[in-house]
Amino acid sequence: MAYNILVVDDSAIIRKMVSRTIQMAQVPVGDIFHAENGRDALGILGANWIDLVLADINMPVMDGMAMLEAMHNDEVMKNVPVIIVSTEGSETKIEKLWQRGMKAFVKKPFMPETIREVISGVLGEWDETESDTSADSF
Amino acid sequence: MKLSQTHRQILFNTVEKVLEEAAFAIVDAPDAEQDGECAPEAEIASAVEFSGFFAGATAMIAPASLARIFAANMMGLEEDDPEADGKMSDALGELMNMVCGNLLPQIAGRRPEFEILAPRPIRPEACRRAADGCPDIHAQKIRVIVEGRPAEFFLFVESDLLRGLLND
Repeated sequence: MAYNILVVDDSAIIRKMVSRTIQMAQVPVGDIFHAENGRDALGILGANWIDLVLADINMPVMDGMAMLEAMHNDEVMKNVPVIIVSTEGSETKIEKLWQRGMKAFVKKPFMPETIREVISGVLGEWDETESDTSADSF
Repeated sequence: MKLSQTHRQILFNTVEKVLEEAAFAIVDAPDAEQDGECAPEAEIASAVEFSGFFAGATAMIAPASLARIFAANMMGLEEDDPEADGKMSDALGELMNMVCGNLLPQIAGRRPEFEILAPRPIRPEACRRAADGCPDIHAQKIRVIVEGRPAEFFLFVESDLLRGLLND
């Protein structure tokens, strides 16, 4: 099975870095979608089948916390797992993210192995032979 | 909040970790010989402002050639890939964002909350002027060699001079 993954970050360089890391981590990828903020991410989630969201917290227009809350209140989107990838270091703020339905937290900077372990923990292990299918959608 | 030499060491350790893990760049403590060999070139600077338990900013000044290396490495490109040219400022800003986010819990502990604003480009000379005008308890600076090029990192806290740095 190949997963459609949505990467949400206001920085183009971080979106590319996360996408590249996912591919280096040999996650079986169908399409990788990119969004610059939570609002755009919700639009993509409403129009496409997404298996996993990796999102930053601090973003303009709609931040990761508000995006999580909107997903949590939507009957369909609430089932899509969200991994927050952020520089956030406050346990207080991270607890709030857990309360809003975050499935895992990855602190920047991260190693590819960390991303692989966390994604595998959220989605379950995958067949390694499927991991060479990958494409970016912008 | 008053800064000390301990915070300077924390700044160095954090910069070293972030640049190595995010930009695959090797950080060395500065030495006079390398300083003297560096030809002058255009610089790029970026700052990240924070508020909360205490307020301040982190900032970085790097030569354009180093910012280009950061951008290329972060995106997995060859160093001469033209795509890296347009991402130099973004790369510096995101590295500063990571330095700031990793630095604050080491100084304040893991419970306090901070609001970290989006990185923004600043003028290198304004940053140096602010650091030179601040006593050590409000500003700490390190100068390191990264991939053979000099780079400067700053931590400012509770200083009125910050307004000049960020609004210049």
